[in-house]
Amino acid sequence: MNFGRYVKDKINYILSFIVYGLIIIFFLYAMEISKDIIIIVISISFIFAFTGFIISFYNKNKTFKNINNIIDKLDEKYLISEIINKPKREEKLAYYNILKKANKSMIENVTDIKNHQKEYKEYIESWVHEIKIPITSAKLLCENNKNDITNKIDEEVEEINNYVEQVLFYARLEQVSNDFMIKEINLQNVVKNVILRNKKIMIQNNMKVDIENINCICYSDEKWLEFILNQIIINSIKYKKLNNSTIWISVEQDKDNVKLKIRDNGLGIKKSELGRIFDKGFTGSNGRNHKRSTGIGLYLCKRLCTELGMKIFADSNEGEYTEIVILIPRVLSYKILR
Amino acid sequence: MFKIMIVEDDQEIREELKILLQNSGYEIKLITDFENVDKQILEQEPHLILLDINLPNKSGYEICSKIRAKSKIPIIFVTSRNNSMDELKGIMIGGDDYIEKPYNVPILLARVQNLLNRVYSKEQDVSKLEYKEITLDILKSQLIYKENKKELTKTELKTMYYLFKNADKIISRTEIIDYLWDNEIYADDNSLSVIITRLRERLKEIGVENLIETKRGMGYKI
Repeated sequence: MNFGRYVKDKINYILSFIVYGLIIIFFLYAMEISKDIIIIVISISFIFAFTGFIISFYNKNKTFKNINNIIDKLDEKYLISEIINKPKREEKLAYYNILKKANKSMIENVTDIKNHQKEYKEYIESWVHEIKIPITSAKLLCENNKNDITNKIDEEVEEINNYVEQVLFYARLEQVSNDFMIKEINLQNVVKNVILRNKKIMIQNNMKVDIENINCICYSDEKWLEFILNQIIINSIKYKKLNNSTIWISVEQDKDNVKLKIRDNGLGIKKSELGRIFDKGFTGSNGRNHKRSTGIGLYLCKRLCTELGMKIFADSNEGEYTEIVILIPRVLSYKILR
Repeated sequence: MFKIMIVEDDQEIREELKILLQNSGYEIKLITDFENVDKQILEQEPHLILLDINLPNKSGYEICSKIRAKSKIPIIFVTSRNNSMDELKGIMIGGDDYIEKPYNVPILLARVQNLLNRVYSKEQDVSKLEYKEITLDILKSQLIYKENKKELTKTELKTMYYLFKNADKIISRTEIIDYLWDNEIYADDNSLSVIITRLRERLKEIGVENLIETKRGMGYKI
């Protein structure tokens, strides 16, 4: 609390005290009481009033400081009324009761929404589970009846599958839960799986992949990392140039991190857009001009990386290349930021 | 021939998976009645089981632990549950591998093959291939013709192997590229041309000419 403003708040009291003082002086004067006594009476009342004023400011200030301290330490600040002591004074009690009511309704709302969100997430999980069955059938049918048409259908189905996975990971991110499992993984396997997933479309587009010593161990969740890598490779395929498209995948290691680099010689990203590619819903000029783009893929990559304690960066030169770097912690003993 | 048992309640997937695996040279048994699945499986004595998790009556987990009580038949869980915890549970209960739906066909086939090789320690199917007096020694990665020997790189060996395997047939360029990608050689059309040119040089060096024929617009043939 600021003293100056407090004084301003209490200006009515102060003015009425001054008026009261003047009236007293006037009466005492009229009653012909000696000047000395008037000065003593007025001084005493002033001292009492002033100390009272200061003490009340001090007390109120202390109470608020206290509450402020508590609320600063609280994660969920709307729980404040559950924690502060019930006041005894009538005025404070009134405020306390109002706060309590407001907080109670807030808590109910929050619990409601949390439950809804949980149910929704569970529904999404089971929906994804269900829809993967027809997707599997369709893919097998294409595989068993290979021709130009089923090849194209297979590509489309794979795209559907990717969107379905995005939904699943999006739902998982929104819910704080331990869906991931950090364990020792070999990057080579993850990279191999992702390339095999996109093999067909890459061969059809006459693309090349150049892989450099990625036989290395790191700690992460294999499925999540595979999803992240898949989004990046899909982007490289989407935004490739017409000829000689190559993707380079390499690893650099230092004592703390494994640096996984995915570089392509595709369309690249405008300098002005580079800072925003990990934003939700951002579909730069590439996304708008070339292919359907939702602006979700890279956003999910960034969020998933953060959850896993990894970092992701992008570098690009328009018309030349795009390079995505993922920093994966090498040691198991890192803190997962949750 | 290896006998694989498919336990899958979705009829479409079951039938298509059967065709796919039969095409890859396996004998397939299906479960269509989901009562006493474990007994049916044990009676059939398959070499490997592809087991779905969400099944009518008993879940795949339960079936797996029942089988594990009596047998060590390799089991691969095949499921659309994409969750690390499910996978962990599957492995804890005695599953040998865990594949997610929709499976990527090359990955599925590779995992099945790997597991079968591991469990039944099948010898390398052939360590040497022969065609028109030319020998391809896979273990030593060598081409041998009469007294002449020539070392091959991994890429050259794989390409040569595929050509030998499909001798007398015309193989399209994409077919070879496809095979190479499955073997972690991610080549494009140009790289394939380079590989073939180099293979022809190697063949020339050991005294073989015109082994690899180019069929215009179709592919290659030996």
